[in-house]
Amino acid sequence: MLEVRKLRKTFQSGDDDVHAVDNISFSVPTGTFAAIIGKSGSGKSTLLALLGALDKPTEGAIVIDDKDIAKLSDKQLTVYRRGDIGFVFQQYNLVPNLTALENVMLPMEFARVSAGERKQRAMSLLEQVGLGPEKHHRLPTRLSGGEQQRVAIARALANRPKLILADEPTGNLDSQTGKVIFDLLHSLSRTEDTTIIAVTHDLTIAGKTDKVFRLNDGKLTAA
Amino acid sequence: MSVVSRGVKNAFRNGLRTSAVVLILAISIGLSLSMLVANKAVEGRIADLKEDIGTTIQIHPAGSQGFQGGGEPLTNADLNKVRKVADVASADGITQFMLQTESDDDTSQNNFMMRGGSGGTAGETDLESPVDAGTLGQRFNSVDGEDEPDIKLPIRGIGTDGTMEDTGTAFNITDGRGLKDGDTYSAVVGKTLAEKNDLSVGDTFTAYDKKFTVVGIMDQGTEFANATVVIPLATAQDLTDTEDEVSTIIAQSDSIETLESAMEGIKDTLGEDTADVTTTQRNIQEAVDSLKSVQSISIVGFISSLAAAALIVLMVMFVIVRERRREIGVLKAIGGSNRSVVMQFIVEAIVLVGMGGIIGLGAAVVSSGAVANALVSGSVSSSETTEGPSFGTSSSQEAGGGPRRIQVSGTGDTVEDTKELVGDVTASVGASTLLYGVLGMLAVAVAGSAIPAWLIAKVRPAEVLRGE
Repeated sequence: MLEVRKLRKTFQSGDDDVHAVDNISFSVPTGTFAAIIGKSGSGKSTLLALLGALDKPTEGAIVIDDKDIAKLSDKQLTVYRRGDIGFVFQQYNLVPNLTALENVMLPMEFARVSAGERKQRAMSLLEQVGLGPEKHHRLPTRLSGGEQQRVAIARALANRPKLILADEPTGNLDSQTGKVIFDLLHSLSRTEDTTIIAVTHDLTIAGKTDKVFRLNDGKLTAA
Repeated sequence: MSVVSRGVKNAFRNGLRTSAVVLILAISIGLSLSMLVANKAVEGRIADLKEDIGTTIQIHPAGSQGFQGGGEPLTNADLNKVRKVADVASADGITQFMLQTESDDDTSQNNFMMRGGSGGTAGETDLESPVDAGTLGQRFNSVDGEDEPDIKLPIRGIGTDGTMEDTGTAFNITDGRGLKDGDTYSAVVGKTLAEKNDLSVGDTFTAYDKKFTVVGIMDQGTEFANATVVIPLATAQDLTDTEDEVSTIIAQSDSIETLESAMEGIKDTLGEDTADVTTTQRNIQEAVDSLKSVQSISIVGFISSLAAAALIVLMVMFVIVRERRREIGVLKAIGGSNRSVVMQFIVEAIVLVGMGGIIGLGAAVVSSGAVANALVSGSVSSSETTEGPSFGTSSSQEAGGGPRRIQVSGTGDTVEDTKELVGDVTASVGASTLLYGVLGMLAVAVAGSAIPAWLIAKVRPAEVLRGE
């Protein structure tokens, strides 16, 4: 269970305080595929960064399995990101000089999984996201956008996270490939029993998720 | 793939940039290693020269040296005073005398001896000098431009309880033993004198109507010194009727560092009107000073080159970190700790420095000798020009094989031919140099990565989402 309580993130803009996320509360049960929608600048990415412990909230609590990540130290946050969170980015953000397989193995290396085990799991995950062995040793530049996003999803799943945060995962893909990637995430939320929260502009895709949150000027409004 | 292999792989991400950086680092590191090698080589040469300097101080009667000059002789009391001077480890008295080969015709040899100086009463011996009089001997034997009859050269004798000639050169015993306490009519004879007179250890000869037993043969490396006979000081003083006199005192300071203060102490104790106190230290010290300046230059060069290399690494890593800021954010977002991300970049820097270092090391091996000698040559030349003008140079050889000197007319001062003393500096890349080089390179890589590492640590993973 993910629970967000009175979460606020304030940035300074000159003499003014800008509330990118303004006193929002919600909860998402484990295994749910939720979408966050909203206009540009509504605070979607900031909320995602807070949920993924990429940034610290100004106020409020983010509780995952009874642990408030807002109170964790930088070191503890690193451990949290490594073990409990998986990220999928709009621009894939694969390491360009590592192969698909090596990219998927990377989070497991940070988690000190043995070399043999991480290779085996990385191969299995790539198969799971539909990338055949012939593409395991390709550099990202030799993969299509959809294939790169599949690698990114496999990488996000590497350490069996409780929560996958996807920032516009289909934003850089054509509609057909975007649909495939969305379906893949949807099925993973079922098979891996992982909570997925995706930020998206695509209302069609958002409509297919279990839960939708709409952000407007940092505030949660009715979807 | 480990952090190390990722770091290594990253170093080759941009081949052109890597090549350029490695080349510049190679030049910088090569120069620094050359400086280090030069420093070590010069350090070795300084140690050699310091060994040559020794700790010997020669004390002669003021205005007299050997059989030349005049003034009052030094005494046993002076010797005892010198022994008590601070920083003086030991002091031995030496008296010199002449032995004349027994002959029916006394005239020519006595004439020679009277011009010989202050060695006390000359004594007769059954020994013959191994040195022919030759042109020089005959020239010294001429009076008012008129040649005297052919002469047999006298034999130089030394009376001492010590282990050195009056020049400060240690006796080099090649057979038998040196003189020791309790010896009275024992003698150590020079190699050529022994050969000329068919003497071996245990044989005897006469001098001053006394029978001496040869206890040792010495080889001092020069014909002059090898034609010498050495007997105990007390015996020599007794036979030459100079019981209380010594012609030279050879003192040793505690160390090279205290040589100067020991000299000053002796001068103060005996008085400059009583004794001339000299050492070869001043002349060799000039060479050592020149080399020390080279050592300083090489240290500055070493540090500067390493600093330049560190600066190059710093700039390159700074650019790399800026370029990969987003990637750093991604690594942190997917669970990479600051430490593991920083390590990856440090390994990358070490790979760049290592490649530059290997090429630089090769360059240093090839060029370090030339660099060292160029530094030494430049430094010695500049130090020589500070000695002031020299007029009418001439070279002379000290008895006992002393170094060549340049006589500066007018002042009577002597300036060592520093360049000759310094000689060629042999530079080689030894294990310690390699070790220092590797440590230096590691320091360069770590120092060059320090600020980039700090920048890496400052990158917040949230930045990866900005611009998405």
